[in-house]
Amino acid sequence: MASISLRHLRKHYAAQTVLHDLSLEIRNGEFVALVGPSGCGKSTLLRMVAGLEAVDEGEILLGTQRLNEVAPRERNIAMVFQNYALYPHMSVAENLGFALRLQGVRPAERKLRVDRVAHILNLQELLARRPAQLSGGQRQRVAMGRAIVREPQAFLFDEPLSNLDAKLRVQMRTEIKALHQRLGTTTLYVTHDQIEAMTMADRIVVLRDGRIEQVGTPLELYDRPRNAFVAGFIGAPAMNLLAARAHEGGRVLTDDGLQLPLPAGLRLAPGHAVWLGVRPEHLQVTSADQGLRAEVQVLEPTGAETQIAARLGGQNVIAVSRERIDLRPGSALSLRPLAHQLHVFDQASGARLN
Amino acid sequence: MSTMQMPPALAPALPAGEAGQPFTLPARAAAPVPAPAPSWQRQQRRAYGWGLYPALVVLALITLAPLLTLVVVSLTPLSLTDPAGTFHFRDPLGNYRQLLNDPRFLHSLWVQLQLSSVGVALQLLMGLGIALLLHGRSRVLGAVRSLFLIPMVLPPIVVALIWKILYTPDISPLHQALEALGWPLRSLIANPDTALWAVVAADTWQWFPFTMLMVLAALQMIPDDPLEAARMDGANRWQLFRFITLPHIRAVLVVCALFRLIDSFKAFPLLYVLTNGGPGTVTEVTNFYGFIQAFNFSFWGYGSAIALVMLAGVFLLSALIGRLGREGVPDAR
Amino acid sequence: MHAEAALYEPPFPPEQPRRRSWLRRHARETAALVLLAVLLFPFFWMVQLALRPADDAFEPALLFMPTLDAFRALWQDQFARAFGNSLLTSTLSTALSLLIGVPAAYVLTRWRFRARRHVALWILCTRMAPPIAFTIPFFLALRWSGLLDTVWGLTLIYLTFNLAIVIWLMQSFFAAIPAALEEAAWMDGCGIWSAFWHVTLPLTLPGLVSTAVLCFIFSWSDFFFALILTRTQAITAPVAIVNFLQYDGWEWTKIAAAGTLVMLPVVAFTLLVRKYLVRGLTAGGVKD
Repeated sequence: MASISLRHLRKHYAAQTVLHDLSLEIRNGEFVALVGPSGCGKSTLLRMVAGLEAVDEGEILLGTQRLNEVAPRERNIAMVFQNYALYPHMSVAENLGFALRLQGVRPAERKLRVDRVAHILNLQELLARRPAQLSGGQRQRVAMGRAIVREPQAFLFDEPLSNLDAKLRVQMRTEIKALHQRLGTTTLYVTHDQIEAMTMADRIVVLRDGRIEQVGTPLELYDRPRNAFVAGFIGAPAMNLLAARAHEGGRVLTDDGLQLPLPAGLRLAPGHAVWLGVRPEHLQVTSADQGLRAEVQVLEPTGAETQIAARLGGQNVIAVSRERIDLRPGSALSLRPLAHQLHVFDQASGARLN
Repeated sequence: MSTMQMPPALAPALPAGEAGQPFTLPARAAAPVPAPAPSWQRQQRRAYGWGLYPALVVLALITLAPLLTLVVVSLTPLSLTDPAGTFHFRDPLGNYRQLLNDPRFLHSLWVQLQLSSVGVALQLLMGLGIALLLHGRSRVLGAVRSLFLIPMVLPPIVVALIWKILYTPDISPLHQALEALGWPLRSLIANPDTALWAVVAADTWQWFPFTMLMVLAALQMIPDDPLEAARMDGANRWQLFRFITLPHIRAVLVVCALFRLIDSFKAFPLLYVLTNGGPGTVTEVTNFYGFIQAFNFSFWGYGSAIALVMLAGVFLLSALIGRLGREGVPDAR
Repeated sequence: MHAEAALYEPPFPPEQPRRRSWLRRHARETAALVLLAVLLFPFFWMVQLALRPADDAFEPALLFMPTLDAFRALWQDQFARAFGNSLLTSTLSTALSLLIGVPAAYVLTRWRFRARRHVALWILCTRMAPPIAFTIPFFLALRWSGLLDTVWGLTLIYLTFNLAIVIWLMQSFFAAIPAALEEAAWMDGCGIWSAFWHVTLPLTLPGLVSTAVLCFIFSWSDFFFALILTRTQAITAPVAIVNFLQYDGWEWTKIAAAGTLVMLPVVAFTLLVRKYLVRGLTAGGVKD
């Protein structure tokens, strides 16, 4: 069983607590992404699972084995580092076979396994080269190959794509996901890029300041974020969050006097301060009488869609439309939020209310 | 779910009054298999310890033990002429008191001061000047820079030899050239008035490359932008040096001075070969005086006291270097 | 016609080619070479003195037939033994310092223990202390233990400066290796020293070699310790030279030959490691 259990983990550096009572269960074969802003503790968590950081309180279990005191080399977990950490004085083949050599695997079998992994990752021609002679993407693949060749019970990825250019990143995302589908190994993947998490993970864990904000499948997080932070973090362009106060009659009022409907069935005390959340693609462009008045500020056509930055009710919003919009900055716009795609968050705590 | 696993031996015993009840261990839900000892943290500590402690032991043996011995011996009038009889502590501060009243010791301090201050000043100036001259991108300059290191890297005894040859009228090319020109010169190192300055000259020759090397390294780190900007503003060479270059290398010069100052206390081969402390005691620096007391007269106690005084002085200067060195060369931006 | 000419005329008046004399253009280099000749003259004088026939020392004619007589006389006159002692002591001292100092330097780089800064200060102090502070106690200790005038006794006291050099220099080299490489090695199956052996050490080999060379140079050049702690058995080359000066009736060509021999290994090695000279000489006191 290669499940990973994190139970009540705590970690502090000097006086500062980096992880607060963190618990998480990762199932065998699952691909879990850890996302969050920098400083949220995701890398620390990953390194604790790897054994590179000590656990102050709590337990880490691989299957039924408690890992807290186990040396990194005995954990049967492989890690892909952010800067690849390839051994500069060894060739690609030696890099790949290093762990096997330490295990005492015979040269013949070593070569077999290295060749097999090189084939999977398309590294066959590069086996004799040194890391310095490789491109960023190639180094990335060697780093992954080094992890794969050990046939570990789990993979750890520490922001592996952050040093690659945008196009390569997209390509590698698909490759990593395909690799996971092929190998089926439990994977813990740390990234600050929520798109990577959304496209690759079976489940996403959103971290902030050492605490888990939400755990769920990508679509769960997208459709029902538990608080304003997750709502704003997941999805690009980010969800629009409009500040407003509850009014009688199932409506909210922005400071600008704009009235917005509350989702059906939600009762709030008048004056209750909330964030009204609506995703850009759920803010429809309609004819003048059917929507709310807004003013166009910037139009960003990407070809597939048009992003409209507008001013609605005294606040900046972004709407996304599949249709081509023929408007100019400064012109009036009519926007209508889809009624069943509204999210309401308490302004004080950020918690979801509907 | 308990986060701590208790080995059976520490499981709470049942209270005595419950005899007759079947004894059961407290239920342990899905107990995780314990990892084999020792923990990774302990492994690390142990591994690091194996690497460090031998060195620390050796270091203690060759530095702390001698220091202790030095202090102890300095509190006795130990002399090799009568080791048993002179190893006592009846007058522990006797050597130090004697030092304060010892004219030869005080004179040695004065000689040391002269040698160190003038020597270091000359080394700094010469090193600075030559560094400025050799700072440039050219193969010739690069080769010359390497060759100029020679005086500094020669074993000090060889430097002493070289200058012994130069200062011995019989075979010195300088003396013979001067004689041929009609200006015969007496031996500089036999003359009490010039002996010390002859040594200073040799010392400067030996050590100017140190300053040169450090200043060159610092000059290379000066960014081009301020220099170019100043040049475009019309600054001349002297102004460039004074307002742009000098501030950048000031810290390096200070560190150089301190390093050379500390090293100047150790000056020995030059003195031993050229003048042997003489004529008389004209070139007898404190280090040399300590050497004579300990190894010529065999006054170990007294020599130890002198050595300790030197040690204290050097430590003060070292602390200064450590503080300055941590701040490093000033950041250019 | 006028318009055509205007097309081909450069927009700005052409600059006059500056005809500075060759000397002015290469003033700096010329001055440098002249200065080099003047300042290194004493050095070259000694070397050429070693190549002269014995009685030529007192009346140096400008031209002479170089001979190796001085060197031959030197070699036959017990100097070979001193030279061998120097070689042995320097090599032993370097090896011992590396053996003890390199692992210590690695630990000091990677292990954040509380007394770390104190240890660093201790090592700096060792480097700075004047030799006489060591010689007196060491003389007493070596005499008492019978190690006076032995190669091992000398090797032991050379540790006082070599160990500090090794630790200080290697620390800077180890610090340049990213810790992530060692962490990767830990995950691949290494323990602390296994990762050091397979990853860190190979990457710092140039630094290791340079440190070894510097240790050798400092050991070879020592005079003070050897003077006091050796007599006839373990006498090293620098001290043997002084014996010539005092007892051998001023055979200057032989003395010059001794000086030349003693300086040859050092100068050769120095040219090899001149990149690291600043680091070695300032023992990390200045950030480089």
